[in-house]
Amino acid sequence: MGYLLPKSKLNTFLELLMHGSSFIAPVRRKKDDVVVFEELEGKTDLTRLDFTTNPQFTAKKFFMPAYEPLFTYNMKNQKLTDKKITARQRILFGLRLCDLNAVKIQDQLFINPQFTDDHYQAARENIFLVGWYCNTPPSKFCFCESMNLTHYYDLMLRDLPGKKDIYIDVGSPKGEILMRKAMKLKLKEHHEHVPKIRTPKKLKTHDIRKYFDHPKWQKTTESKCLSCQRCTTMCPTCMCFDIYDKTQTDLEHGTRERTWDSCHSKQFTRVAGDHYFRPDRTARFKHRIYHKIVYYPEIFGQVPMCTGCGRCIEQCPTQIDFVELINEMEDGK
Amino acid sequence: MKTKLGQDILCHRADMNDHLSRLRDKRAKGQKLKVGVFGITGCAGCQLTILFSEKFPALMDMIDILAVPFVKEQNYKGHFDIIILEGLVSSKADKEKAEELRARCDLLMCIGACATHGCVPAMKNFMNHPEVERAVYAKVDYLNSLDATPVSKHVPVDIELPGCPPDANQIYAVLTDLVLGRPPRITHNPVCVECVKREVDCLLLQGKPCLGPITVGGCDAICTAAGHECMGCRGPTDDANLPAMIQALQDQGYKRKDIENRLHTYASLLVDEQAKMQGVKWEKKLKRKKNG
Amino acid sequence: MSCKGCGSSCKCHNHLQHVEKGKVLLYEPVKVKILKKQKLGDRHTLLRVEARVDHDPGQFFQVTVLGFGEAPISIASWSKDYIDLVVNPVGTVTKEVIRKKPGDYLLLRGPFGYGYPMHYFYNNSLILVGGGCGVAPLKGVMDYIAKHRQHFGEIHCFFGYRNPGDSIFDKEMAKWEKDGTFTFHYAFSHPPKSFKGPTGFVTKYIEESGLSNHRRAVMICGPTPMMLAAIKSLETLGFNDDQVWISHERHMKCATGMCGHCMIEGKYTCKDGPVFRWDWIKEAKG
Repeated sequence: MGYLLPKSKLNTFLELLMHGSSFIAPVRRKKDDVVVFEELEGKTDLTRLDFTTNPQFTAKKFFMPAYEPLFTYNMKNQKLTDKKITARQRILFGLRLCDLNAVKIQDQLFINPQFTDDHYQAARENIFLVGWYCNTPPSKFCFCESMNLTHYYDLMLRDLPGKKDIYIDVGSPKGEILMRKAMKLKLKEHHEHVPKIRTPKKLKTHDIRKYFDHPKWQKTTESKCLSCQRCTTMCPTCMCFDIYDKTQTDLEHGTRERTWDSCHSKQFTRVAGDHYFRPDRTARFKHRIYHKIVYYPEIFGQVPMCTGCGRCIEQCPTQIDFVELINEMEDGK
Repeated sequence: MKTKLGQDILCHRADMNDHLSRLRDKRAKGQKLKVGVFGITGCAGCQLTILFSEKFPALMDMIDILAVPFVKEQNYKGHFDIIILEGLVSSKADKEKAEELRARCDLLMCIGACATHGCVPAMKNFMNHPEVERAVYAKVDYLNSLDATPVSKHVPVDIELPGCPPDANQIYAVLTDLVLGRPPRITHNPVCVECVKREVDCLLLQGKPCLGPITVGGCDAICTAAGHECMGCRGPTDDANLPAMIQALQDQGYKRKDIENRLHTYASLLVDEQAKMQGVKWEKKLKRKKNG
Repeated sequence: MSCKGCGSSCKCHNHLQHVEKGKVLLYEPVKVKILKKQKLGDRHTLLRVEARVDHDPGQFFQVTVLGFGEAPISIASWSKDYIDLVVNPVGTVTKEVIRKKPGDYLLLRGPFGYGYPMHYFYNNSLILVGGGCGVAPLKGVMDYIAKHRQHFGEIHCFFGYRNPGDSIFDKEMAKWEKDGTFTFHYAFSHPPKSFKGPTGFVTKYIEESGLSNHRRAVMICGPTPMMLAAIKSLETLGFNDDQVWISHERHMKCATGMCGHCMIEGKYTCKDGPVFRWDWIKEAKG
């Protein structure tokens, strides 16, 4: 099920979507020429849209901000004061399939039968996912072909190569609701298969348990990893967080906040009495990779936690390429 | 008296919690906490950070700043609850002053890269003292110069907040925690984390010699957000991978000598210590001279 | 216990969590009253709070002190009317918790995790091995057993402490020893010189006891090195890995399997643990 949208009418279509909700899209930032997800302020901002590359920073901040208040409290009478969760309706436009699958992974993690994270859920329920299909992989570090991505979106826009139309694939009832906003355009119904994205880079095996004691891990991390935590903070599926209390100077009011945390930090596993469970850099690096590719599928089914967006490789200050590393192990180099 | 940097809680004395609960009892009785701001060898910039901070007046209900010799003539001569100390030990007089202040307070809080890591003045450790002295002063016989060392090498320090200058928001948050009676929460993550949270494009990848990956954060990535690479003024994290950092900068095309100079700018003593542990050999002749 | 959603007589869920409009607010603790405060030995403090909530022995609560943070504390009782928390003041939060007085309120959320599966042990003999404050969660197990004594065979308790001042629940244990509910073996590893009692580590006494592994299960709770040593000496007695249940300690924040701090390989200590059967996590790395 889907629609055909003439390319010339794309801006009109987006204007109609924008109406009445906050609209977030990849734009090129003026000050440093970097593509990021930003809330558009008006129709004029549509000219800044940029689809040449995948945004450098992920959209996870719209689901869980870098610093998010959980509740406020009053220390004097030991009461929780403000517990309201406010979420605005948002349309996230221009997410690639890898980032859309990252949302799926977050959904599995935060909205599960046993516990549901109310803050995440409130944000998630108000977000419409509108994807942008990659006809060609936007970066040479993309390796999503080997990551079993599924179609997880409300709408997916595909710039049909060699044609004058954009194909809009409707992926959920929410997407159908969103399409009603553009009823005025009287788009032609059409059906087409959204093909799998092909990437030149591939992860040769997911079965890496046998390589746990491979000396290459140690060699690479000791010589290259700075433990700067850029990879985990950049990752669209890394959702570890830390919770802390922040009290104001009046020593009465305060906020319990959470912020992104990272398993690459040594203090991540610290317990009282200064004991660290993963004091070793290599152990922490391996924990990230093994969590993504081995542990996660064991818990949630056969889909790996990594979606192959390649940010952790592209944005690593020393360009540690874990895909290459595993491929080398597989090749027996 | 080696102090660990980049810990969740920077308390080095076993009785820190007793002091904290005493501070709290005092506050519960309605008494204000006595705070002094002192300085030894340094540029006084850290004290200015406190004076210029807009947030401090909010704390004045809880604390009394009884002594700031830098701006006040009449200063309290008794015992303090918290002393904020700036500057490093560089002469006999400094050492005596540090010892005196330590004895006069419950909690000693060192602020600034000088007090915590030695900062720029520590470069004299790699030179010949008489030469340096003569180059600066006409008369040198009254100086009694010592090796430039952080305060923690001489007296026990309870809290260390690095930075050149230190972050006013962090000082203010730590003071709030102390007044509240809890061990302060001080970040241990490198600058990179705050950099990404602010969505700053990586300067290292742009080819700038940024030390963010191995430098303790807490500054809210103020330099990198403004487009200037991190100079490492907050000192290396306890987990810094120096060989990898040097290699990364060399791959960007920087000369080994320049990299070593940069690493030695703010925290030469701690970097030297870590380098020894990680087996890094300096190519430049960075040898500590044996002086007084 | 009071719950925002359904008032004080809450039976709609077995968690101490705020419910608003049918939604559980995951991170907001619930206020409970402290009924009793008691010093246990030299180091530990017992806080009895009024909370009627179903729980298994071995589960834990997240205890909040506003402005100071949250810390996991295991349950040291098994009762329908109250919950005992044994607090060892080592961290920021725990040091603050013990300042509370009876009549004050404590903020809790929980209980979290999987405790000891007591039904699974029915018609078996048991060995309880505890070290230091690790005895506290086992006290919950003992409370349970004391109320269901007919379902269990003989029960040996091996408790190790650093010195006699650390031992907890002396009164209750003495009573149980007297009426024969449990058999106790104590060991003190760092006693004062004047001490005339069993010294050394519990592992020694486990080996000496010569108990067979026939129809027996073992529950261990204590510091990691002590647990590993105890498992080793149990192996010499012929115990299999699937007869041993241990309770792990990790850094925790959310207690619901989201924040990622407590992961041991693919398992979350907070959600899948803290009690694990030894063969489940024996091979786990990190």
